[in-house]
Amino acid sequence: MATGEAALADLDRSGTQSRALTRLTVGSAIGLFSLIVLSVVFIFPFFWTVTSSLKQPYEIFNFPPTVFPSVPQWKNYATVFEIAPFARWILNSVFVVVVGTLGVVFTSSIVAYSFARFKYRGRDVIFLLTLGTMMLPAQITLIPQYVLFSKMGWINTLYPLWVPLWFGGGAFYIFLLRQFFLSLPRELDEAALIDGAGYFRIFWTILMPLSVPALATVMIISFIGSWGDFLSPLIYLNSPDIFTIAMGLFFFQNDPDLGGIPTQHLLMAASVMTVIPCVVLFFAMQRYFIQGVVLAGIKG
Amino acid sequence: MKNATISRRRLLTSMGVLALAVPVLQACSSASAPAAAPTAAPAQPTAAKAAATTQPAQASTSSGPINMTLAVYAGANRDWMPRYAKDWNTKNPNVKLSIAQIDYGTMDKKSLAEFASGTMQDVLFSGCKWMAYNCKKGMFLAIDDYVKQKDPGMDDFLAATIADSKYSGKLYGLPFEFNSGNINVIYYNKDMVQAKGATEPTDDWNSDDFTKFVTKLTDSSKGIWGTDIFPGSYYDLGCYARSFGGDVLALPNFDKFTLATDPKTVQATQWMVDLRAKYKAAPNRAEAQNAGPMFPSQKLASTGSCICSFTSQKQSVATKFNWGVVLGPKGPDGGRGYDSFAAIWNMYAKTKYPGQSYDLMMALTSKEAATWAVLNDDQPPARASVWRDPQLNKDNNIYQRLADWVTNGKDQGPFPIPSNLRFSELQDKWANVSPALFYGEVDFNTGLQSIQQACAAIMAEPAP
Amino acid sequence: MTIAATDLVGRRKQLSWYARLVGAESPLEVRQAIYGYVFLIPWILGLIIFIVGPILACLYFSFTDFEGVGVPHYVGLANYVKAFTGDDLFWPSLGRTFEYSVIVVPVGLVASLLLAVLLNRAIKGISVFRTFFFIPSLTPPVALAILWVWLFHPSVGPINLALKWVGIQGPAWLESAQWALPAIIIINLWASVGGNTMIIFLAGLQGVPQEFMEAAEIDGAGRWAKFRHVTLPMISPTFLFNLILGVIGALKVFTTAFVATKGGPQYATWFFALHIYQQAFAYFRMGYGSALSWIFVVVLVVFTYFQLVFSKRWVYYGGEGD
Repeated sequence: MATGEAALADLDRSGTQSRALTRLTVGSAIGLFSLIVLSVVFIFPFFWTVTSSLKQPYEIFNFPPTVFPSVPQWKNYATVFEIAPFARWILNSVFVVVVGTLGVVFTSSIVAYSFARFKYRGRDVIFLLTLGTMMLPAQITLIPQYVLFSKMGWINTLYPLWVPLWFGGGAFYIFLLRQFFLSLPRELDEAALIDGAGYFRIFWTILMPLSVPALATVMIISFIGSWGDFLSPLIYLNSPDIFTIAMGLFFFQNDPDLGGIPTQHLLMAASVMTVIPCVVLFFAMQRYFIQGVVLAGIKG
Repeated sequence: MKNATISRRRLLTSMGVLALAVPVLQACSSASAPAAAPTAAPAQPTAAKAAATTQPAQASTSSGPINMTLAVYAGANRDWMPRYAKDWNTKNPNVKLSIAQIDYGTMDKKSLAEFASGTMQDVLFSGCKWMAYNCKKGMFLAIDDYVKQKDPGMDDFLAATIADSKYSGKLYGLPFEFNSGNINVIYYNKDMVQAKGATEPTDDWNSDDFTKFVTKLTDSSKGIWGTDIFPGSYYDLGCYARSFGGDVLALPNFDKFTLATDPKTVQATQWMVDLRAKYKAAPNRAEAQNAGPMFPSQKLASTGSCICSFTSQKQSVATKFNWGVVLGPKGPDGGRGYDSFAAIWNMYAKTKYPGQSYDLMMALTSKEAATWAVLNDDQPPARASVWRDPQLNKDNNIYQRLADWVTNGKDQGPFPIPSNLRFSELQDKWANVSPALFYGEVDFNTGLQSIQQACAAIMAEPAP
Repeated sequence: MTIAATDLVGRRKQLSWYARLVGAESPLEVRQAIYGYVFLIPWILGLIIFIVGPILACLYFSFTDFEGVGVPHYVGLANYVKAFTGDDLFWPSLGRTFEYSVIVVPVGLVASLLLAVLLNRAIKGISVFRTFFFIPSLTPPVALAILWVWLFHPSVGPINLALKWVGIQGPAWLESAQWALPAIIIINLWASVGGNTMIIFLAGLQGVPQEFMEAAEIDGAGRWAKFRHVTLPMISPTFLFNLILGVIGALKVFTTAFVATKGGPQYATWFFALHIYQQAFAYFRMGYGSALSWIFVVVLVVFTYFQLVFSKRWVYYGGEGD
C-alpha cells in the first residue's frame, strides 16, 4: 500500500511537489484553458439556479430571458418558509442525519474493530458476506422492510430512516474502517493489553483517536448520503409535516400554492437551500473527504 | 495519520453534544407524528372483505374520555376541516379528538399502511379514485344503518356523489366535495372575443360551436391559441365522450375499455384530436411547456378547467382583462356528460366509536360546513343547496348553473373506476400512451388502437 | 473427546468444547474471541433483521400474490412468468436501463479519467478546479432533477437558448419522447463525472511510479505512448473498481427519472428500478415487485461476475503492493 499512501500525500499537498510541471508549456496552457472552460460548464447550472431564485415570479419567464434578475428578490428565500413547512423539513432532515450518522460512526467502527483485531471462527466468512452486501440494490430489501416497518406502525415516522443505521451502518463503512484499523500497528493494542486495559478501552482510547480522519470521512459520506436520500422517505413518509428535505422539495415541486402565480423562482430558492449544507460541509472537511474516497478506491 | 487536526477531546465533545441534542430534536420532530394508540396485533382482515357488517348505533354517552382521531388534508387550503372538527369537539367535550394532516396525493398508500398496522384514524377522507379499492379490502364500515337512524339530509347530496360513496350497493361514507370534471368548465377572455368579433359562448353551445370559436380566436402570428383543452386523464376524455353519447369505460360496470370500439367515443376523440391536428387551435407538446399559466398571461383565449379553479383564476387574472366562464360544450346531440369526482369521509372498519364517528362525519358534511368551505376555501361542495347559495353566486352564477346541470336528471356522471379496481395502472397507462394521439404526433387510427390495446390489457387484469 | 494442543512453551493443554467452537487455541484466545463476537453483534443483528431476513422474505413474497394488506397466497412461478411474458413494460424498462448504462458508464469513465488527467498537474490552486468539478456530485438527487428540469425548459431554459445562439432549434428535452433519455443521461453525467470516480482516478494516476515514466522517456516514448503503455496499465485496477461501481450505479438509476419525468414521456425514461417501485408501491403488487427485485439482483450479479472474469485479460496488477 506504499503507492496508495504516497498518492494520498500527493493529493493533499496542493502544488508543492518536486516533480511539478511548473513551466508553462503549450500543452499545459491548453490544459489550463480546458480546465477553465470545463469549470464554467460545471458550475453554470448552479449559477443559473441561483440567479433564477432571485427573480420575480413572472420575470423568470421573460422571453428572451435575462441572465441576472433586475432586482434581486432575497425575500424569495423567506417566502419559501412561509408557503411550505420548510423549517420543519430541515429539522426533520437534521434529526435523521445527525442521529443516523452517529449510529453509523459508532456501530460501524465497533464492528470494524471486531473484524480487524479479533480472531474467531467465521470471521472471514462473515466479512466476505459483508462485502457481498455492498453489491445489493436497495430494491431487494425494500418491500420486506416496508412490510416489517408497517407491522411495527413505523410508517410515516422517521424511525425507518435512522434505526437501521444503528445496526452496523452498512458494509461500505465497515469495510473502510476495517482497512484503516488494519493499518494501525498492533503494538499499540498489545502494549495496552499488557497494561491491563480492557478491549473496549483499547478501542475507545487508542484506536478511535488515531482514526479521526477515517471517522470524519465516514461521517461526511454518511451525512451527504442521508441528506439526499430520496427512496426511503418516498416510501415511508406520507404527511408533509414529517417529510425530510428531499421529500419536501419533491412535494414542493408538485404542490405549490400561491393562488395561480408561478412558483418556479421559489422552487429554485428551495433547491439552493437544499444543496448549500452539503457544499458547506464539503468545504469544511475537504481534506478528509478526499482522503476517504481515495482510501476506499485504492484499497478496494 | 499525521494530519489529524481535530483532537480527540474535541471529537468526543462534539459527539457528546450531538448525543444530547438527539432527544431534543426527537421531541421536536416526532411531536407532530400522529401517536394513535396502535392495536396490539397486526390487523388481519376477517371475513369483512366486501361485506363489512354494520353495527347499530350505540348511545353516544360513555363513562370516561374517548380518544378519537381524524385525518384531514395537509397542505392545500382546507382550513374548514380542522375548523369544523374542533367545532364538533366543543359540542362533544367528552371526546379527545386529535387531528392528523395527510397529503391527499399519497392518502391511498398511507391508508393501506395504516390499515396494515392497525393505526387507521376513526374518521378519514378518501378520493373516489381509491375508495372502492379500500372498501374491497375491508377498511371501512358501511353506514347504511346509521343513515337510517339519523338522516344527514341525503336528498341534499348530489346524486353523483352518493353514487361515488357506494361500493357493492352499500354506502361507505358521506361525501364532502364534488367536482364535475377537470376540463369541462371553460374560462374565456372577453376582450379577445370582442376584438375578434366572435360570438360569446353560452352554456348551450356544442362541440361545433366550440371548434369554430377556438379556431377564430387562434392567432398564431401573436402566439395565441384558442384553447388548451387536453385529456390528461382517461376520465377527462370521458366527460366529452359522454357528451357525444359514448363512454371511455362502458357503463354500468366499467368493465370494458371502449375508446376505439364505441363509435360515438371515437367521434368525440376525433373532435378533440382535430383541435390540434387539423385546426392548430391548441398548443402542441413543446408549445404547451411555455411560460407558466398561459390564460392569465393572455397566450390562451380560453382554458378548459374545472369549477374548483374558479377563485384561483379570478386571482391570477385579477384586472388584466375581462373574462367569463361557461359550462363546457355539449355534444352534437345536445347531451353533456361529466365525470363526477367526489371526496368522501369514511369510518374505519375497526373503530371503537362508530356512533361518535358517524356524528363527526355528519358535522363535517353539514350545510354550514359546506357553505363555509366553498366561500373561504374554494372547495366545491357535495350539497346541491350550497351550490345554489346566493352569496356564492353573487359575482358569477356559474355555481348555480353547474348545479342545475348536474341535477337535470338527464346527463350521466358516475366516476369510472375500472371494475377490476386497477385505477392507478389504467391512469398511468393513459398518461404515457395517449399524448401522442392528442398532440397530433401520430396518425389517428394508429394512435387510437395503441391506446385501446394498452388500456384493454389493463382491464383484463384480475382484481386485487 | 478432547484434542490436545500445545501452546508456545510446549505444555499440553486440554481445549474445552467452547474453545473449539470459536476456533481458539488458548483461554486468552477464547476471551478475545468472545469479545470479537460481542462487538460484532450490532452488525449480525443488522444483517439478520435488515438484510438477510428481508432478502429471504423477498424471495418468499415473489412466489405469492401479496398486495400489501391481507394474507399472501402462493402462486408458484406465476410472477416470474408474468415478468418475462405478460408484462409489456418489463423488457422495455430493462432495455431502457441498458441503453442508459451502455452510454453513461463508458462515457462517464472516460470523461472522469480525462478530467483526472487534466487535474493531474501540480499547479498551485489546482484544488480550486477540483472543487468546481466535485460540487455537482454533492447535489442531492432531488435538487439535481429539479434544477435540470428548469435548465432544460424548451423555451426559456439556458440549454435551448445556447443552442439557439448557434442556430440550432433545441428539442423539448424532458418533454419529448426522443430526447428525454438523452436528457437524463446528460444530467447524471454532469453530476457524477467530476465526483468520486474522478478523485479515485486522480489518486491512481498519482500512484503511477515515477521510475516507469522515466524509463519510458528514456526509450523515446512520447506523451501519448507513455499514457498508453505505462499509465493505462498501471491504473487498470482502479479502472476496474470504478467500472464495477459505475455499472451497478447506472443500472439502479431511479431518482432523477422519477422526479424529472416520472418515467415518461411515453415511458421514455421508464427505468427498471422505477418499474419495480411503481409495481410495488403505486399499484401495491408487492408479490410481483418482489419477483422483479430478484430478477434485478440476478442481473446485477451476472454483470459483475462477467466483469470480474473478463477483467483478468486487461487488468494489470503489477504495480500494486498488495
